[in-house]
Amino acid sequence: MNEKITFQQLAESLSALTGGSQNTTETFIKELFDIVSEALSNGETVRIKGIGKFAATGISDQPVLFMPDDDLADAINTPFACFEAVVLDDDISDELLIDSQSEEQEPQKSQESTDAASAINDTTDSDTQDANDKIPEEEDNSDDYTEDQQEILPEPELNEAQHIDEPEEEVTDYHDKDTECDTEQTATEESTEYDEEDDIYSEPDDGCGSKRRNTFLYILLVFIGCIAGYIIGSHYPYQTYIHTTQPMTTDTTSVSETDSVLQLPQNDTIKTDSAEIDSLPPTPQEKIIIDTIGTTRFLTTMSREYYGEMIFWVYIYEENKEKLGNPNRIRPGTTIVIPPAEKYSINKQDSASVELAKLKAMEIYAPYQK
Amino acid sequence: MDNKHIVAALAKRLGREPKDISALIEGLAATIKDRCGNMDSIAVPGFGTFEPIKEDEKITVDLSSGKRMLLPPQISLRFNPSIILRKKLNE
Repeated sequence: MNEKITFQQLAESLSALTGGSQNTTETFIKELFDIVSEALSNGETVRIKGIGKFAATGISDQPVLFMPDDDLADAINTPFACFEAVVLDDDISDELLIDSQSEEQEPQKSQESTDAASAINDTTDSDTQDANDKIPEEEDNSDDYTEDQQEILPEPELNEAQHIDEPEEEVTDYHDKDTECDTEQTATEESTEYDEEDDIYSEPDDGCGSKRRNTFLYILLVFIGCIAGYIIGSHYPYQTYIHTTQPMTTDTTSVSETDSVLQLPQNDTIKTDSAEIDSLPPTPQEKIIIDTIGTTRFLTTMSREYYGEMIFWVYIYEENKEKLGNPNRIRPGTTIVIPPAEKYSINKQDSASVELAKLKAMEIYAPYQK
Repeated sequence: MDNKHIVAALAKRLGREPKDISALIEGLAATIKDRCGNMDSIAVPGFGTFEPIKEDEKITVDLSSGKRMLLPPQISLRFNPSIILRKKLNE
């Protein structure tokens, strides 16, 4: 590649190819080009098969014109043999072609590296400033958030169960807990952010040991955060259940149905709603829970969940008799109302209540056992 | 002077059969093709240098039709005559 082949090397190659001695090939090559030189000096055109045509031009700058043989020219141009001449459209201007060439060359410029270096410095500076600015902002936001939570009742959203006519005290407690949890979460988030900043600032000063320690600390905090999130997420509904002495439901469709009733508007309309809530007596008998039958969620499982015993399913059935029909053929997806335990004097501790429920079950099954 | 004349003149000078000279010429052409195909240049003392040169793509205008043509890049074999040959031709 890009080597200059000498006369000896050419003779060696030719002798290796033809099988003759090197002296013979050297003599042959010398005599051949002597004849060509003499013919050119006489003004003749010489054509050698497989090599090409030599012609004397009479021009001092370019005295010989060489036209390689087609086979030779094609063999040498093999790398670009696949390309063909293309007629350019009138739409393609020279400027467009020059621009495309300059765009291809731009990435090679070294200026970008200096720009990038300065940009890195700028970003590090701005990052430090942003980090300093970010902390008080977030603290302010968290403060505002808690204040808002205390002053205004937030609209209940994403709750799995909805309670109709829930007393206001319970609602506020419920949301107080929510704010507590949220503030805890924000506190953990802030702490992780502080640690991240510590990582950033301590990196240039500290050695490898501190880097490892900070990384370990960061991973530990993330892990603790995940566990805390999981615990809060998994136990929060049950805490609410205990506090409000009401079971939670897991139906999402019922949420949408009851949203219109339960949704407490924010800000300006909050006073009127709270007044309405206050005006209603907080009678526990009016509490209604809505649930949905599922493929793995039956009346008995609901009864065990809400009343502590499976046998009390009969009262859920009684409450939704019109919808359910045959108790052994209840369709999944049916939305039902769970009556409060007080309505039917449900008490799992009381054996009389359990016996009554068994009798009720027999009554319910009687029409379908024909 | 065509190939036949060259073969005859060489056979006379070297005292060999024209077939052998034709075989040697074919071998020389194959050697040049092989070497120049690898972008190597071949220097023949007293005559000149065969040199493959890569030319970039270029746009030419067809004078008859006025249309512009984008010619692809190519490798062409050029011959640079040596000083001795130049002097001989310029005499």
